[in-house]
Amino acid sequence: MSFIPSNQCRLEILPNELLIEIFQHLNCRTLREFQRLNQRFKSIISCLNVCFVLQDESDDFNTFNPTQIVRVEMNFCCQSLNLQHLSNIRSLSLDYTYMTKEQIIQITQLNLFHLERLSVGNIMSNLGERLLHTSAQGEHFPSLRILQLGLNTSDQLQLFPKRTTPNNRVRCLIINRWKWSRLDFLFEFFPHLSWLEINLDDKPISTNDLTQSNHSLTYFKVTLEHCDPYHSDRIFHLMPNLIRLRIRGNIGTNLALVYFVKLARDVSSYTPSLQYFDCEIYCYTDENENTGEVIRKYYHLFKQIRCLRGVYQNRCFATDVQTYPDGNQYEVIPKPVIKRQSLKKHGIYYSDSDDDDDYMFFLKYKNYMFLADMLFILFLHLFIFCSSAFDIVQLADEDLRYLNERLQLHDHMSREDALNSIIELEHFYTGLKNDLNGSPSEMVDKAWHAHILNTKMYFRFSELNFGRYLHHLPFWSGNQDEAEELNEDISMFDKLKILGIQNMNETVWTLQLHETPSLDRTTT
Amino acid sequence: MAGNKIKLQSNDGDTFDVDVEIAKQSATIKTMLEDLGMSEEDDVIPLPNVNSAILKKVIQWATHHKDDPPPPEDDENREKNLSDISSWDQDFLKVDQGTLFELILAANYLDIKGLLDVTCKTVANMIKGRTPEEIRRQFNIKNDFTPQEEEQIKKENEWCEEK
Repeated sequence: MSFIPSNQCRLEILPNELLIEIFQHLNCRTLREFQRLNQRFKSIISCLNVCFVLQDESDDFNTFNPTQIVRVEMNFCCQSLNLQHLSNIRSLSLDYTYMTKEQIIQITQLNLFHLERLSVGNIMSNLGERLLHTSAQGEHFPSLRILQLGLNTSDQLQLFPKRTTPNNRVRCLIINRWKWSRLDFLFEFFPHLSWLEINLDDKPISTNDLTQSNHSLTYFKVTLEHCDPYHSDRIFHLMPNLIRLRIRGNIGTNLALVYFVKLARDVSSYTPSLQYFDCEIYCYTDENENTGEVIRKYYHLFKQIRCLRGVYQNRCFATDVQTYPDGNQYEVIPKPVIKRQSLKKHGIYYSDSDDDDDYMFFLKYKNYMFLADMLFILFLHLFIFCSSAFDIVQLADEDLRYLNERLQLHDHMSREDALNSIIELEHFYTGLKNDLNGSPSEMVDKAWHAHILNTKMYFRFSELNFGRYLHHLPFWSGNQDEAEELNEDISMFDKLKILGIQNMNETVWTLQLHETPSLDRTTT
Repeated sequence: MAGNKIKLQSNDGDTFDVDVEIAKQSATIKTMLEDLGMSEEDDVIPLPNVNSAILKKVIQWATHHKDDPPPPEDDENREKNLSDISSWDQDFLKVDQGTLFELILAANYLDIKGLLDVTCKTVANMIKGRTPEEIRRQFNIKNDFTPQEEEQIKKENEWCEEK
């Protein structure tokens, strides 16, 4: 019995500012539907700041006033998107592949005074250099603080020395391809940078040729296609005030591992303020390559990873490091493996467990997002596979791609929610495979329903993993006896934990989206 | 000083002894204590917009979250995730709609950002994925559009009918 009086059961008792607070959590489609409910909601929503994620042709702007739109993420060709009208836009994520000629012209010529974050991916023309120049001059985008460019090549960029303008407020720069010899340009173009993420895809040059230093840079994340243990590290002379360094090396030639050892020894002499130091390795995979083969190829590295800890809070995660130079403070911490593994871009990634910017990374590397998602899951499999004594059920790549798309487009899940639901669906399947009976949570059930709906795929999956069709038993009056046979005293979440599945997402298992609890079951 | 208590009084006259540090999660109470110079020992802080049942719930929430780090600033550039509600909060918010709305009002009046955020997300979760008619029924929302207006809105939203 509730002791709380509930005489005010209507959403409408809330004042406008609180309705706005709630509406900010809804996507544009739901908002559009909400407008149909009554005059007051329509008028509130017509004043709301709206974020648009353009996924398909049904996402058009017509219902909203363009001045309401503060964030646009364009994931398909949207000819009706006229940047000229978005006078209050603060965050813009575009993909060159989908941009019309007019939109390309607009982005280099328009004044967007409130734009704080600009991301353009898959750039194929000289748009990259034009955006770099425009952003550096700070005239068109005087509020811009975060700039992310996805260049298809950096070879053609024509960059010229520029005059520094006080309007340039860019603090964070992310570029997927760059050259060693052009680092000087970046530091000259953006003298106030505090955060730089960059991929250097050519061989290192003598760092004597680099003279432009940046004293404001505190975070540097660099991916090195070619690691040269004897030339690559002096770049850190140019950024003496670094606090966090994340460096990724291509595992291809094994020089990355040698380089990491050398860097662990020397880096603090270049950057005395450094507090976090993470090493990562990656490898490229062909789209047609069997990802399972790749996993098997690099499997041994997972066994050899060590967390090295140095003075203060310095940490280094490295692989295959057998010895540590004299005088180096790093030492082996006797923990089996890192708590969490994630995979980024086309590579293997080792990270500390309190890394809090995964989410940002995925946003920034939108172009690689899908592949990153998939590999993340696959490597998670590997991790579980290494450490468990029970049968693991893994979804095929195609199933993962389908579920990821379906849950985002039809169930309106965010990318992160969709990914978490898929991972937990696999855990659920793993439980069933190991003779556990129980109900999925609502989010897992959504993912399961989506899987079942693709009948051919689901049939193939069932046959392959269970040797039979894995049935789904909704609760109804005719099967009460059958449902009662299932032991529901312990939740499926707890059963899976007891089985030994680690790193489960508790929220996905406990969140109730609607009031009616999930009553779906499996038959065994 | 650790262990100091203050008295909070609901609009129906009940008084609650609460640790100062817990009560200070409310920016409103924090301001009363720090800026207005109210004494912790003697004065009773009246909260005329909150009844005792709701105040009890708010204190329960604040006590559970007393060691939480301060909530992050709002970032419009960031995708909003509705699934990041802790299981404790989900259980805590398994209440009837009236209570949920009153908690939102109280969180707003007392200026407790964490509670306001989680209660608003909970309502958003109740809305998400439902059709306008379902939302209308669930929240008892009266339709005040004229038939002409309704027809116009329907036309504008025709694509929503697909599924």
